[in-house]
This record gives sequence, C-alpha cells and structure tokens, in this order.
Amino acid sequence: MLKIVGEKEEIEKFEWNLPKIFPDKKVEKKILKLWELDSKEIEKIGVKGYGKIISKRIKEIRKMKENGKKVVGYLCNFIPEELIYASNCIPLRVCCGIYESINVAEKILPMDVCPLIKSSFGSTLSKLLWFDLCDVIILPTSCDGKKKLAEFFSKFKDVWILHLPNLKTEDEFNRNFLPLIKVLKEDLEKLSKKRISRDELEKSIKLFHKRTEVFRKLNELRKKNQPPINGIGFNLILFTSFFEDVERWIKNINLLYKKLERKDSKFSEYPKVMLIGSPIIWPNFKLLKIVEEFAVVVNETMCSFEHLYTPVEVDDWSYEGMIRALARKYFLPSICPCFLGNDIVDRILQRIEDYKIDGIIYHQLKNCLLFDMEYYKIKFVLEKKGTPLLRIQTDYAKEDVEQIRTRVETFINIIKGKYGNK
Amino acid sequence: MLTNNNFITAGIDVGSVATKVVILKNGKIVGKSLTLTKADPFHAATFALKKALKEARLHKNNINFIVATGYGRRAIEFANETVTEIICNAKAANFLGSPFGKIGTIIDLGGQDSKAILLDNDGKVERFVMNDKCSAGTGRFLEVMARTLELKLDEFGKLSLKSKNPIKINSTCTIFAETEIISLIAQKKKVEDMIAGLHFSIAEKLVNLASQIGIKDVIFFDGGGAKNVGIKVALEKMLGKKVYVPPFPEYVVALGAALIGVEKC
Amino acid sequence: MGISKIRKAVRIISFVLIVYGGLFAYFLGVKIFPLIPISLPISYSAGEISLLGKSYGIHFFEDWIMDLSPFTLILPILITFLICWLLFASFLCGWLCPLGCFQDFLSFIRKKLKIEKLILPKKIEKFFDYFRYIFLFLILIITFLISDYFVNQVGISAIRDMHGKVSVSKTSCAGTVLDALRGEIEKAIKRLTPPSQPIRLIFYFIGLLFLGFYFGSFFIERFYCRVCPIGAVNFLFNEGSFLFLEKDNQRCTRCGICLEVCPMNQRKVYEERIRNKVDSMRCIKCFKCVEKCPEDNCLKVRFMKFTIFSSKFKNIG
Repeated sequence: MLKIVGEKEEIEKFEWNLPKIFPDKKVEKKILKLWELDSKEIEKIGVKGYGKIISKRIKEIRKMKENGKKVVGYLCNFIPEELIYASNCIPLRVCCGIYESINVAEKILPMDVCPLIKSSFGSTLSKLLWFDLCDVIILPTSCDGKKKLAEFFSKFKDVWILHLPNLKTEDEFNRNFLPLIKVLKEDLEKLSKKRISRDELEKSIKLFHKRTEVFRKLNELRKKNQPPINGIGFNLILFTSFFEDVERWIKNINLLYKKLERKDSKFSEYPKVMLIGSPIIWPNFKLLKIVEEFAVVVNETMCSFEHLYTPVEVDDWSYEGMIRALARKYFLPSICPCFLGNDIVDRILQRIEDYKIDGIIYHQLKNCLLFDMEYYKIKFVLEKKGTPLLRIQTDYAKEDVEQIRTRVETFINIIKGKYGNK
Repeated sequence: MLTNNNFITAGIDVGSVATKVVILKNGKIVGKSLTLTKADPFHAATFALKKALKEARLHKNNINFIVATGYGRRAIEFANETVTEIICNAKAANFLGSPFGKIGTIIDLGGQDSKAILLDNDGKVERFVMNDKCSAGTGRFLEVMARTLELKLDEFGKLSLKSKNPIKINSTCTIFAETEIISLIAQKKKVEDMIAGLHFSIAEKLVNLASQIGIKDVIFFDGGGAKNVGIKVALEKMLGKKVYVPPFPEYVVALGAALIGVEKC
Repeated sequence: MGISKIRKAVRIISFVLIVYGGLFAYFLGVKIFPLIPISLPISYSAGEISLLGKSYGIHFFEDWIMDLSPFTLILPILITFLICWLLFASFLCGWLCPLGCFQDFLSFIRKKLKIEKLILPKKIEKFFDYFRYIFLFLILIITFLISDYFVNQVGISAIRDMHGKVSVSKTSCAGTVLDALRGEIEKAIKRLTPPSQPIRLIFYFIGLLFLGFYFGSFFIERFYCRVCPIGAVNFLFNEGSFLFLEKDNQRCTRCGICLEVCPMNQRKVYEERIRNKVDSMRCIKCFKCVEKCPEDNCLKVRFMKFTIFSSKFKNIG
C-alpha cells in the first residue's frame, strides 16, 4: 500500500509485482557473527552484553508484535521518533549497511542507485535481521532514489510518503512541514488504535531529550586531546540506537560514559580526523576501519547520528506547541544536502575548532548526486580555512580497499607532515 | 644528510605491472632492477632485489633499511616499513630537482594508473589525485594501441614527433579508442598522425587529472610512461610549459622509498 | 542561576514598586519623584493615590516642582529615559515594565493550563510595526493638546476634570487594570462606562483597545507590547544600544529554538547569518533566546565590552 502521510487514497492503482526472494540464513548468521566480533571493541572498554544485543532485540520485537504492538520503520532522520514512541509503536530505522543485500536488490533495482538504498531494500526483501519487522515504513522524499524506492517497497509493505520541501525556511516549515507532522500524528494514532495524550507526548519528549543529553556528554569526551574512544567504538554504540529500546540505550550510554570518563586514552598519538558526507552505517565500516589504521576519528558530521545532537526545546507545553517544537527540530537544523542552501558548512567549521581537527575526509557514496555536487562548496570553504580535505568515492564493495588505503595513508602522512611530529 | 652517510637502503616499488628496486648508498644509486610483478608481488620483489644487489655487488645483510611502496607493498614482509608511492615520489622529486627550477607538480604515468601531485613551497605533498579506475589515462592505453598498430612501444614516441597533422581521437575509453584506430587504419590515414593523436589523448587525460589539484611550475613527469618522448612533447604543447623528465623515470618512486629509508636510519 | 529566574524576580519587584510604590512613599513619608522617575506616565492622579477605597493624599512631587510648567517637568524625566534608552533600550520593556509583568503573568496562567499560544502571522506583525508609531504620534499630539499649558492657551475646557487638573490616562480606561490591582473596583468600573463628551469618547475607545491588547496577551504573548507607545520609543533605540545581543554565526545550528521562544515573534536572531549584532526592532531584551539556545556561546548578552550572559546547553529538568 502506498499513500501520502495524512491522506487515505492509495497512490498506485495498477498491478505489478516483485519476484519472490527467499531469505538467506547464511547471510544473517554471518552478519550476527560479524557483530559479535566487532562489538568486542565495546566490551574492551568494559561494558558487557553488546555481543548478543541484536539477536536479543529482534526476539523482543517479535514478541511485542505478537502482543499487538506495531513497528514503524523509517529511512533517514526526518521522522519524529518521539511521536512514534508516544503512540506506543516501536520506532525502527531501516537504513542499512549490509553489502550482501545489494545483490538481492540489483535483481530489481538498477545498478546505478545509491548503495544505501539498494542495501535497505535488499535487506527488507530478504527478511534479514530486523528489517522486515516493520508494519509501516515512512519514507521521506529527501533524494530521488528514496522517492522512487517507495513504489518498490509498497509492493510488500505499507508505505507512507512524507513530502519534504526543498528549502529550509521558516515559511516552508510552517506551510509544508508542520502540517505534515500533525497529520502523521493522526496516522500513527490510527495505526496504533490509540490517541496520543498530551502527557504521554510530554513524557516521550523528555525521554528523548535525555538521549540528546547523553549523546552530547559522550561527544564532549572526544574533544579531549586524548580521546578515550575511537570512531569505530563510538559508531558501533551509536548504531544500536537504530533498533534498541530508548530507555535501555540511554542507560547503556550512561554506563559507558562512566567507564570512559576515567579511562586513559590510547589514541593520543594519532592525528584527529573528522568524517563528513554520506552516512557510515554498520557493517559498512570499510572506510572507518581504514582511516583508523592511521588516525583517530573524533567526529562525524553525518546524517547517521546528527539528529541526536539538536535537542527539542519546548516553550509552550500545549499539545500544539509540543508538536511544533518536535517538527522544528527534525527539519530546521538538518544537514541533508537535499535542501538547497544547506548550511552544514558552519557546523563543520565550528567542529574543526572544537575538536581540534587535523584533517577531514569526505565520504561519498557512489551514484549520489547530492553529495557529489555538495563537494565543491565544502572544498572551497575548507581550502580557505586551510584544513586538508580528502574525498573518497566508494560503495559497499570490498574491491577498492587497497586503493582507499593508499589515498588515506598518503593523506594522513600529509597531515602529519604539516603539523609536525604527532 | 641524505648524501653523506654510510647507510645503505633499498626501496622496493611494487607496481601493478612492474616491480622496481633501487639500492642507495651515500646518495648514489648503486643498483637498480625491474621485473614484472605478474600475480606474485612477494616473489617479484625478492627477485628484483636479488638482481639489484648483484649489480651493486652487495649482500642483503648489508642493507640497513628496506622501504616497500606501491600497490603491493603490504605483501613484502621483509620490508622494515611501508610508505605510499605518492610520498615516495615527492621525496625523490625533491631530491633530484629539475634544471628549470623548483618542482611544483608531479605527474606519474604508470602501467595501470596515473597520479598527479601538487607540492607546496617546502616540497611537501600538498594535494594529490589518483586515477586507478580507468585505463584510458595510463600506460595500458598505449600498450593496447601499439599492439593494434603492430608497433613496438619504444618506437611509438619517436614516431609521433614526425607527425605534422595529428588526428584527434574522439573516444575516451581505451577499448573504443582501439576501435577508432582500426577504422582510421582502414581509411589509410598516416600512422604518425594517428599516433600523435593518441599521444594527445593521453596528455589530455593527464592534464585533466592534474588540473583537479592545480598545475604549478615546474612540472616533473615520471613513471614508466614518461620514457615516451611523444607524451612529454604533447604535454608541453598542451600546457605551454616546460616538462622535465628525470633519467630513469620508472625508478623515481623506488628511489624515493630508498631515500625515506635513509631518514629512518 | 537561570536568566529567567532573575528576570522573574526583577519583574515582580519592579511591578510592585511601580504600581504600589506611591503607597510606600506615603507610608515612608518620602516624595515619590525623583524616587521613581518612571512612575509618572503610569496613571496616577496628581496628588493622590487610592487603595481599597481609601484615598491617600500624597505629595507626588516636591512643591516647587508643581509650579513648573509642563515642559520643564517633562525634561528631567525625558533625560532619565534618554539615558536608559541609550544604555539599555528595550531592556526596560522586558525587565521593568509593570504592564509587561502583567502580561507575562497572563501567559504564565496560560502555560499552566497547557493552552496553545497563538502566533501572529508575519503580515500582522509588520502592520503593528508601523501602527505603533502612528499611534505614538497621535498620543503625543493629543497629550500636547490637552496639557494644562495648551489648555490655557487654547481654552479647551471640555476635558478638565473635577480638580481642574488633567491626565491622559484618567480619561482612558486602560487605567482600569491598575485600579483593579489596587483594589479600586468602583473606580475601575467607572472607567469602563462610556463618557458622553465626544473627545472623551475617542479616548474611551482607545482605552478599550488597549484593554483588549492587555487581555489578548493571554493568547498572544506580550500582545500589548506590539502597540505600546513607550515601547515604540524604546524600540527605536534597540539598534544602537550599549546592551546588545551578539550571535556567533558559526556556532548556530539553525535549530530555530530562538524563534520558538521569542515572545515578540521576531526573526532576526534566527535569520541572521552574516552579521554579529542581532538586535531587532521588536526585541524586548527578555533574553529567552539566549537562555534556550542549545549551543554553547552562540548567543551572548553584551554590555559594551562585557559579556553578561552566554548561551549554554542545559539538561531538561
């Protein structure tokens, strides 16, 4: 079923179907094993229990579904999770980093499509991990690929389209985005067969505000001259926010923070690098792992976790006021290049100063026009600022590891040379 | 410091086509050798090192430091350190210098890739760009064309200089350019004109690549492909600047590796 | 200590001083002026103040002051205002004005009841931006017309009251609120009855309008401030005042929270991307934007070279 948020009518009326795809248990086992291996990074810091976190959560969601709870999946970070949580549904982000799913997707989608889209589609089709558990998927029309993807998803899932304006002005917000969020709330109420009360929404907003607080706290640690956690560890932990229960996640991060606060850093000898551009989503840590052979990643200004950074500030705790504050947070500070006049530049410049960045690596997924065109602007600004910049154009495949490694290694050598002995 | 010391270092450049070794003593090259990498970088490196040692009349134990570079550098387990070929190239270029002045841009035309490096005022790498995805701007392009025209690669460059009317090759892809050459042969066009056109094609690709990081005087042209005088002339014509090709251009990166070895001693 | 807590305290103290200050003067035995120089425009009958039905004759001014012509009387008050304006501009609006405090109290009740606040559309805000100056101009002219001096010259006697003295606010029913706050219910009701004389009728309707704006501030924050004539003058000094708002555009994440919390619905702080000074016409310097901004040191309250408050990320509750 394919419909626009707030409307009843189905968009596509003619019959066509997707070929049948059978789930591949081998791939699922492989991914879970890979997680157990990678999560040892976190266990090294002293926080246990991360190895089985995915399998445990999948079982938990399945049980909750049996008891009648609905799962609302979404791509990108324009959908207010607070609303989904307040309506007693489970928010689940289905942005995927799995390489094996791309083969599945390429049976249907063309080759020249962003790997993230292919991977998310393939994983949902082949019922991998938690990707198939959604009752509804909400797709924002951020890029062309996601827009058209809605048609494909609708053949086996209910899809709601959230129409994003192209400009991030206050007028566009009031005219086009805020009314959408209001009707999204009504759609969610219909889905969960329960009205969202004012108190529930307030509680939900306050809970997710804690999530922002704890995220910022953790980020502050990375500003130190000797960061106690590297990029891989940090991104692994943050990846769990895609599927994990919010309250448990906050508790885990608080625990982690306590362990890291007093930890001695082992990354002080490395130059500090910031990653920007297309999001890096587990298990596509290819670039991250290569970079961290030579440097330490102290910040990612990417849409993978940037929505955890800005808080929802409610001035007017009436129902309408809360929805407006929510919608504002998910729209105005967004750094997605799908918006014209995107002002990620200021954020990058500020972070260079805050985190004492030595160099920036621009991660660009192949076939992404938006990030490709955005590069020129960022190169211009960073050249003026004098911060070294390296562009890596890649996808999920492993074939170009050596090529990336040569570039990254040379880049880090350049940085080291510029800033003396590190 | 690099020239008057008693250190003996070896630089091993494991390229995708050929492995080059340079043995350096007191700032002078005392031995060098080249062998095809084929499918076994480790074996190629060992073999090339042996050959170079023989020429230098030295034993492996005499070497104080071995630096491996190039695409297959990580396979060389007996190397003391690995460094990327861009850094090595810059090091060697600075060491060799050019008769025209300070080196600003390095263009490296390899067997299966090409690179451009911009140096800052201190001779350090400021920016770099690599083409290792498309064969059209690499040595492979000329190899394919030489085979199509049934000529030896060595004569290729000199023949191109004889042309008075170079024919523009429209295809950017190696395979389709080959098809274009075949149709030109059928049209009974002059060989030297076709070859000159091909050289301009490569020069154009190199200039496009280097423009991404900025072309600054003086231009230092190295890599195996720099042995081709036709490309050098085409580059000079296209850029309107003098291009310097060092002696033994294919060994420049290996030399750079050996120089880094001296620093690490 | 949060800015809003300090501001709350200052507002309440200022409110009490100005509305009931005359009584303190009475009981303390001091003359009001020059104790509270800005109390003059806020409707007192010259020479008396009443509370809960009882009238207290107070010496509003020193005797010699009463003999001065209205112009000389106005002068020191104007000078005080001018200094305040240059230094603080509309800081007076946000922190000292008792009418502002009253409106904020109504907003407070609305927030407790969790009722939605109304936001005026841009066009209407722009309309008020012009309207308040026309209004100010009219009020100045009318005050001039009915002042003693002018009356003596021109001889308009229709609006003289029983004591032979006049004050603008006595002829308007905006003073209803203040009378009610002092327990003068009868007086308050009397003000609400429409007078018969035509010129007084004009003032009556203007006063009704003002009342509408005061109480409208239950739904629209600081609604009266959109048309306040004193505010109109205060706002003129906003751009160049020594107390100003500074924004670090690089730290701004465009979250729009400053826009959300502003009671005057002004957009300069949010929309400015290049310049550092973000004072705007309608700003009442309540500094809510600085308090709620989640980026450290993005918005700053500065007095000349000194930084007084700076934005900082705060945990909720």
